[in-house]
Amino acid sequence: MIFFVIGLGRFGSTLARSLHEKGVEVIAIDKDSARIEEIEDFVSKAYVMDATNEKALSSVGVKDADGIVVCITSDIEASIMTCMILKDKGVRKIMAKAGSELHAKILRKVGVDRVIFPEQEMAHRLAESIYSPHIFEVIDLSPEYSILERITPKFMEGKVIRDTKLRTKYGVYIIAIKRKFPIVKEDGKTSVEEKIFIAPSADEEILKGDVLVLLGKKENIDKFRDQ
Amino acid sequence: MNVKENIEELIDQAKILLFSQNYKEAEKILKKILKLDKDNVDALYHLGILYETVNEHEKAEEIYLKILEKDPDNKETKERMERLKNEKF
Repeated sequence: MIFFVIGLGRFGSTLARSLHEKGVEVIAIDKDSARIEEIEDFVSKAYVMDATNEKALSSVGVKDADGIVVCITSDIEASIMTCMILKDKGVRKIMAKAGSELHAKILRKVGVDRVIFPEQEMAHRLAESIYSPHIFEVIDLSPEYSILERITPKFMEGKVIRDTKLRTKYGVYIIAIKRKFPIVKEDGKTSVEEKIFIAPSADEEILKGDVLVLLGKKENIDKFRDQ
Repeated sequence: MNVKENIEELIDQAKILLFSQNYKEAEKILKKILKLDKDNVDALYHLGILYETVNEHEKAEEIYLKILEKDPDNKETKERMERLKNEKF
């Protein structure tokens, strides 16, 4: 898998390093040579380049990328031009970081596949975690459906899935259970391990502390989240 | 049976309950041990593990901190604290 990260500010460089750590081939681009020097040991390739230069971008093989993330917010013009060039080159998937609503709107018009607002997204998640500490994550799959990741509510502890009547009463489906187990390591010490049960059977018992991954219509997920 | 032997037996019982995922009973016994010996690191550590397993992270952290107060170099406990920090919430 080949990914380009263009713009190596704090967000871009963290993203590039993190992807590379996961085994993705990462090509990092920035016009600032100091930033390239800083990251070159942590990615597959790093180029000092002005990403608004069409010829230069073509020369590094952007067309072959599985995805490109444009992380330029300080210079909106450069961000938009870069995305337009990439779109023009037929890049499979373009994601871009937006610094404002207007910036995001333009990026969408240009045809960017995914516009990212990291600060806003993090702020929403933090607000969620402060307000509802039992909620780990809510992912919007579409305007209609969401996935909710939450700690098992008390009323479900010790029940088998069939008896929880989640489908009939709440209209939500358990698609996975994340469960921790105490284990004994090779050195004899006790530790904790997590296992994930995908599509658990209706006879699976739900234990205290289980993290349930639930799928459902947004209104149903919203009803269930505060249980 | 003296207190020490009694505690050792209770710890064995608590571990069996913990590993068989009977957390409610395991917690009761670990707390009983701590009433007899509030500084018992083995009981504290396994109570921390229990809370971590059921995703009660604040309680787990509290217990691990107690251990580190008594034994600041306790490697396993330090590792557990590090893991808790890296959990989502």
